[in-house]
Amino acid sequence: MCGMLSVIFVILIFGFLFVESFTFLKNFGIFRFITGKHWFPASNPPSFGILPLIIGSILITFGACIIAIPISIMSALFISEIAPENLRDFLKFLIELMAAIPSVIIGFIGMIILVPFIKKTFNLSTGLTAFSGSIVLAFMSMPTMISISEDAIHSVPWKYKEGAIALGATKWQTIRKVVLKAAMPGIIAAIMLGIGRIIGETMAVMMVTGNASNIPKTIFVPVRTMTATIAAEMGETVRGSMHYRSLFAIGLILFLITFIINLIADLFLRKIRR
Amino acid sequence: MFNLIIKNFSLYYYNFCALKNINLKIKEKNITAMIGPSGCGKSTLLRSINRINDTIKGVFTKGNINVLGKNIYNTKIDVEALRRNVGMVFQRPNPFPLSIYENISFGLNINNKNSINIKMAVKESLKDVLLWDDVKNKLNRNALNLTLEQQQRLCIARAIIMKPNIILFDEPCSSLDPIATQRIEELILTLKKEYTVIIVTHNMQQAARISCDTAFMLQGKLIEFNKTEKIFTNPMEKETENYITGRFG
Ligand SMILES: Nc1ncnc2c1ncn2[C@@H]1O[C@H](COP(=O)(O)OP(=O)(O)OP(=O)(O)O)[C@@H](O)[C@H]1O
Ligand SMILES: [Mg+2]
Repeated sequence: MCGMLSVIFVILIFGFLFVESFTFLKNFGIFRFITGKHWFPASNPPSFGILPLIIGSILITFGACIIAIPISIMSALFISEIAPENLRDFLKFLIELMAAIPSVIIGFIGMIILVPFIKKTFNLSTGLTAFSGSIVLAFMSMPTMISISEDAIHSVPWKYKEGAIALGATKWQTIRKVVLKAAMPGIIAAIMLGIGRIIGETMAVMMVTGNASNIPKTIFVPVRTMTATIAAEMGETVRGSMHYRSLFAIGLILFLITFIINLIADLFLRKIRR
Repeated sequence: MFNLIIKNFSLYYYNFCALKNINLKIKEKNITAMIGPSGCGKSTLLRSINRINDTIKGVFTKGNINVLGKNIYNTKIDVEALRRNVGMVFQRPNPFPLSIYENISFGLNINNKNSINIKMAVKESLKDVLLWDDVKNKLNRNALNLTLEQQQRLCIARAIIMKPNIILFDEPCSSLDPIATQRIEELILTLKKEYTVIIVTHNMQQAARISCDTAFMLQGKLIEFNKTEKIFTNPMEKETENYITGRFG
């Protein structure tokens, strides 16, 4: 019942996005839209190339994953396998607290602390960079990744660990060779959910990445993401205009990307469970 | 001749005394059974021999246990090396959620000092537990797909690939059906040629069938230790007699 309902919603959303963006995609050309290198929706003639936005999103997402995934797995291991009991409770509480911070606040903190810090440390002309975005997003995704991985690690049955210890494994060998492997499906699910949060995030990214729709050559330049573009420009467009519809087309692309990622994650999880 | 000597050994869970001054000498290449009613401390004693009790909170011991002449409760002992030398098979089969091959090779992989050919060793030990023919074509399959009996055989193979001196069995058949039980018993009997076997069991017939010596425990104390035959036909202690004739436990 609930499953049916969510399928219907997904189809409805897809249909809505498709209808709103159909005329635009037909007139401008879907290939030109995706591979175009310039996003100048207000110039004359306008140019609706979202390649810079796609690359910006991918770059930031990728950077955030590289930061968040190892830290999250290590933290989850520390919390469930190493930390003494009272420290564990405290850390779990702290992580729940972190998860509850609204993204605008994290973005704001990133803007006033992280951005100047990045500018100074790397000696850049601006601290509003893809790298800042990655760090901020890593922070936002870590509570989800940590707490779900921690659950997965914590629920590895004691008998597996006991078996490894009885074969002469040290604590670290037991963790690496048995606990991590047994918990892997759960850890992957945690990572996927974290990535989901990273991709969908808008506000924090807008505040720290500089919003320049150029194709970035390094991670230390301003970028703009797809979500940020929609959020920033939706208010200024004329309803029904080409620009307005192009934003829906971005939404459609974003929808397809997240859909595919979820699909892959799901297939992967199923394969591992078997 | 004795490769396991337990001397004045006591164990506490916090302030509960679970083992009271145990003295026991166990012969090598022999099967020794430990029997006694539930909660008398059989598992606790068995788990003291490879120091896996160390993983349990609140455990505190007195006295010593000598394995091959070394006191394993000496603080300087290498516990991992001890556990490689004293294998253990648990009550419920506990293969890792990994492939059959990874399960068997686990012990060698984490400590392959003599650079043994692992593939050969895996094959050997699977043959020793009579599992090779069943699994030789699916070594990469997840071990959890095996039947319970096969899983228990796998756990035995996983222990013997380490070529330990002593193998500890904690009620290895209690989750198996009677036919599987009989076959695992036969397997344990063959292990006596090479290993010192200590088996905890609830099942007195099992103890009578496979062991040479039997220790009877009650409320944390070792009541009687003797030839199995003697224990079951002509016990010295009143409590042993009561137990084996089924008057309690
Ligand atoms: N982790 C523990 N903490 C506290 N007490 C324990 C713990 N493990 C066992 N005990 C107690 O120690 C005593 C001996 O337990 P043990 O498991 O060794 O008995 P057993 O003879 O193996 O029993 P069974 O036949 O039911 O397996 C029992 O009274 C039990 O309640
Ligand atoms: Mg027991």
